[in-house]
Amino acid sequence: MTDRHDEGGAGRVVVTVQGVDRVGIVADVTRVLADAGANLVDIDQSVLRGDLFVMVAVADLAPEGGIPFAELRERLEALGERIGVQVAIQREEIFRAMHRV
Amino acid sequence: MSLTLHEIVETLSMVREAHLDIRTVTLGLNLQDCAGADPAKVADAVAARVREKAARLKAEADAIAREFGVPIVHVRVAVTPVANLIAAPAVGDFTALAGALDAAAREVGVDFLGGFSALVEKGTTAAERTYLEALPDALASTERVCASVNVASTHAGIHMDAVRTMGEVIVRAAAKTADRDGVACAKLVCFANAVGDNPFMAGAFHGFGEPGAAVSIGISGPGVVARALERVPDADLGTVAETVKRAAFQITRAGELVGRELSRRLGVGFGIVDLSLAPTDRVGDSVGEILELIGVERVGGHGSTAALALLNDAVKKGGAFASEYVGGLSGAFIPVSEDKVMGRAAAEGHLTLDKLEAMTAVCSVGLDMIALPGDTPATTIAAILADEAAIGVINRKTTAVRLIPVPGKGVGDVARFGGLLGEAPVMAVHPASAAALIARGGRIPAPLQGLGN
Repeated sequence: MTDRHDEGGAGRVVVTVQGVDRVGIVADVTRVLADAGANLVDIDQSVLRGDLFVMVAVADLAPEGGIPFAELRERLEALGERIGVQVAIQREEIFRAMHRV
Repeated sequence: MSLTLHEIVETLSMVREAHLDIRTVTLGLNLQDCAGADPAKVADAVAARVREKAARLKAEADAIAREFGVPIVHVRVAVTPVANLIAAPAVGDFTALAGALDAAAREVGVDFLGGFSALVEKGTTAAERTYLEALPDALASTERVCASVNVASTHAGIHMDAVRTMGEVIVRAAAKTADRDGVACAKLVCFANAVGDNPFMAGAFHGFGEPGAAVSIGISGPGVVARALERVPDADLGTVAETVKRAAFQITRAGELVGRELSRRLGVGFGIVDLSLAPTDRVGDSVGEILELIGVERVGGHGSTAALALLNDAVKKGGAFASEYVGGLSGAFIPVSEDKVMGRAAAEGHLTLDKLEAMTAVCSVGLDMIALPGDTPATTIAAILADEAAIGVINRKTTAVRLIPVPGKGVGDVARFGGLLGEAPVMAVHPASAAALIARGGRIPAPLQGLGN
């Protein structure tokens, strides 16, 4: 059971960004992740209904020496506030649990 | 296989727009080794156990909610039924015990602590009689302590002496909190076929066959089911059931994940996921709304029982596949006070006590959080308890009853309990007396359904 939930790697997170499209959102978010020592493994983005920008980044948190989850969350939320988009970070297991049998 | 953008956005909108949350994480604690003859020592031991074992419960639950991005609404503790923990107790010993548990619950940051309970479906011990005597005071003098009394089971039948006593206890508890619309009764559940792993309050307790400690999860998500059903407005009922099953699967998987992670971090075994659709008083988080989406104009109208039966069964089918261990009550909750659409239907006269009773034959609970006129006789309350117990006993299911006779209020008034307990319209009871039935006493024998061996 635990293995099934952990299959994506224990430190894997999903960062989602939603908001009005503007230049530089991807760069801003990936810079925060890089500064935290997180390794980007997948990124996808789309503009829905004309101007709603949605970006999803999957990243592995650094196993050692990186910043902890709670602090990364604070940095991303601060960024979201600064550039006016909604940024969330969640552990990947929740998505796998809900969408995969 | 990597996750798709659609899957990720769907989960996010379930939380943000459909109120997906984990309704409760409940830490069950076994107190049987705290029993003794010195009431003060017992009270100290149980309070110490709660303080020790639940010390990190709230903080870890909050951290997990943040990491997974799924809110956890309630964090609670359930303990072994307390009625027989003290040898030869006095009435005051139980109020002191309730006070000690209340203080410990406050200290560890849980909003309710359940298990101030007794299982008396076949008879009462001397200690249990003292416990029942003490119950109104214990509930009126504490804030977070929840009590439950099991008065019937399919195996034992219905203990009508206990049913009569509970009618009196409910009236006394209401009178002691008359200034707060009888709120003490909102923390008191009368059960048939009570289960020892139910994580939901006010009826949670840690059963006698349970381990030293266990984490159990009560899932929620009426809003998720409702939003899914909005996407299939013209589909036939097979598709409706399938849509509910899919939503229930997803909600349950979220609950299972949260429960296992919390269990790992606390170093405590994982108990069960309770597959219940528990509404909250927020708009869009209502079981009543689901029934209306299925096609009854107002909950309580004809067709409501059929729609609820479909919903209840589909939730179980979807959830059972999603969790390794399913338990507790597992079904849809229909509390009038905590569900906006149910409350409205009751206030408008569509939903009556009789229809609610019928609906409880096909869902997980009984008459939950029902406000009654303040002058309802204790024997009438006892008779309502007996009717619900009969439904549970014959159908081999749990029924739970929370009735609040609201002092000074009558039909048309609204009872306001404040905080988590919401408000409820006062509902009419039948005027015909059941006093003669209740006065007979004794036990209604176990039905043939109980002789399954």
